[in-house]
Amino acid sequence: MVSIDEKRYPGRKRPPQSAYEQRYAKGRRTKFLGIRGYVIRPMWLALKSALRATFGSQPDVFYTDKRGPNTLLYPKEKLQLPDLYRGKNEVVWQCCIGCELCARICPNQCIEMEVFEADRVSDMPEELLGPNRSTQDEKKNQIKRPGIDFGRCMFCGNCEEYCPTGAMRMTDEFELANSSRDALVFEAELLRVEPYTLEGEVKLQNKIREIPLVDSDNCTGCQLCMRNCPTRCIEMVDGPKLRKDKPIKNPKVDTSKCVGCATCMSNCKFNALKMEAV
Amino acid sequence: MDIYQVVEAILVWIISGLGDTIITPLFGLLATIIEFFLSLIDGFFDLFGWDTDIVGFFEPLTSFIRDFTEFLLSDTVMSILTALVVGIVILVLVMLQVIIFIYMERKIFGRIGDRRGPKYVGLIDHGFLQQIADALKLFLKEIITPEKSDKMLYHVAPVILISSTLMILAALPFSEGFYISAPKGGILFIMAMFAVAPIAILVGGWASNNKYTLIGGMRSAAMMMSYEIPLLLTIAAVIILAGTFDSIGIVQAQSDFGMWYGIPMILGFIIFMICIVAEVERIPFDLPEAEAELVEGWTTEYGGMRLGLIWLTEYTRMYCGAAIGAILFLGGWSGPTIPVPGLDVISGEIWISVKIYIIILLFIWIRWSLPRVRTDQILHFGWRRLLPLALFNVFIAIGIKILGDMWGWF
Ligand code: SF4
Ligand code: SF4
Ligand code: SF4
Repeated sequence: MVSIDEKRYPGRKRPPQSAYEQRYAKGRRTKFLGIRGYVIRPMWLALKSALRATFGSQPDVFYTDKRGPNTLLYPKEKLQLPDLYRGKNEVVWQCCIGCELCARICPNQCIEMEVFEADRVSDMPEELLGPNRSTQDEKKNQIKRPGIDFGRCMFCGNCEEYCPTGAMRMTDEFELANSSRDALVFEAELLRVEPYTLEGEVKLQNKIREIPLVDSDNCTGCQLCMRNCPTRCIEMVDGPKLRKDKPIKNPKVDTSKCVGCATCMSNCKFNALKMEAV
Repeated sequence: MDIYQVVEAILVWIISGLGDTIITPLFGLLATIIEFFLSLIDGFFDLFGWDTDIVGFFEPLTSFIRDFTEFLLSDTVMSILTALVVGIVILVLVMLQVIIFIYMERKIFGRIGDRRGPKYVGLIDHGFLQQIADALKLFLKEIITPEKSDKMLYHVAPVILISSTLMILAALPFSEGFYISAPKGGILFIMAMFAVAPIAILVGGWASNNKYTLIGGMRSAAMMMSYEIPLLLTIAAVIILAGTFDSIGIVQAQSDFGMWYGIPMILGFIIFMICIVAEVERIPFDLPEAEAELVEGWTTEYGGMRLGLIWLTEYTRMYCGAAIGAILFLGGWSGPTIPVPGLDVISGEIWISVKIYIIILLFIWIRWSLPRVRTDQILHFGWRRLLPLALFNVFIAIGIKILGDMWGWF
């Protein structure tokens, strides 16, 4: 007999069943009827369940083998969370480059960037700074760091996924309940953590896989994009168009460094940049 | 243990002890005061020249007050007082056990349902006081009478239920001496009192003026037809074997027979257990209170402590049913004397409690394992399965009786 799965996805193999699935697939059999199926078997199962709940071991998160009661005594016992659990965010300030990508990507618009004086983080050792040039630049002595309103956050994990530096991380902390909505708004300072380990330079990764494309018809060479790029990957080079017989400088993006944060595009006053998927 | 003797001894000890120190002086003082006022009235009448003897007229009353301790210690008053105290003691003991049953039920249900059961309220972190907290909660609820209900019947129905249940306790012996009363037709009386409850349920369901309660009450009446007859037939088998309607006599007959009746009549015991589950209206036969179908069954419109009392009564009925099962089929309080000083006096009570608790564990286990049956299913089951089997069980009992008479077993 062809199972529904095989009909729907021909040729696809079912993943191996976990111990949990196997147990419950077995439990669903209902071929016993009469006094065996309606009296003896339910009573036996109830007895087994009672014994397991009383003498069994604590449940683990994957409900593999023998386990105890299905409920945890919550404030006293806590569930062992999986590694990828998405709880309250934290931001490693030393890694964050203030690119605003998280604020832009957040589907609930719950991230707000806060502006700080640069020297608040500049007392860290030089080698840990990595590519974080916005903190070192003498002209720009201000930095931006994200703060999150957890009253609106749906813990989708997009911010963690697209953060180019890995500064935004989601922890196991899930006890955020509070009686006032204001207490759910976490300022940037509250999310700040020091790095657990930072090995070498912070690597920049373009996780959103977009880079800006220059429309040289519109570009006036004003250098706004270059000044605001958090990774300083824009260089002004001679463009094809001339003004007063001199070529207009157009931005050229170093695609190995660009993180696709679209700050340049939103800063451009002449609509000369747009983001393109690569 | 003969509870009447013990209680009477304690009462005599207390009253005669108090008599010398409190009761006699106090009532003597009272009599003196009364006499003083009487003599005042007498003096008042003397002013008018009437020669009266009011003090002498009230002499019987004052001497009665003076001799109040002796009045209390007289035979009639003492036996009435003793019966009252015994009744209260047994009622309190049963109610305490009922609280334990509710705790057991919730805890075991939790474990069967893969949970913990009550946990936080109570001693040593096991939720033992949860029942008391819940009772307190019910106690604080407002008592609401539905507007269009039949007011009198609505209030009377729980009274019928509760009082008929307490009447069972009045005739239920827990050992040769531990009972409120042990009439000769005890088992008959107990079964009659058990059978009153469906009437209370029907009345309560009808008086609440609600579709669900009415259906619940009707179901109770319909169900009664199917389980009551096999139940009485199994009891008839036991009575044929024992030759008496007396609970104490039945237990005595079992120890003369040398075997619990539940062993030769295992069929009867199983039928009895099924029917008694139906009698005390627990899953799988809780049709009148099918909370999945009928909100809360016939108790839908009841609230507050009245509902709490109805629940308590249901557990008391469960206790009585288990006790009758233990007496009829499991040898009641017969068992070896426990060789521990202090416990050997009450070993009979301990044995019957052990048997009752085992039967109640079985009740709880059944309740949380089996699905509820439908009305037609229980009628079908009762008339076409249980009734013939119960009749067969009667024949077994008659056979054992005849053979026993022939070969001199008894
Ligand atoms: S995406 Fe990452 S690096 Fe960019 S501002 Fe947010 S946390 Fe900082
Ligand atoms: S987890 Fe999702 S909703 Fe919450 S801040 Fe991050 S992107 Fe926004
Ligand atoms: S070039 Fe534009 S998109 Fe790329 S990192 Fe700089 S500001 Fe962001």
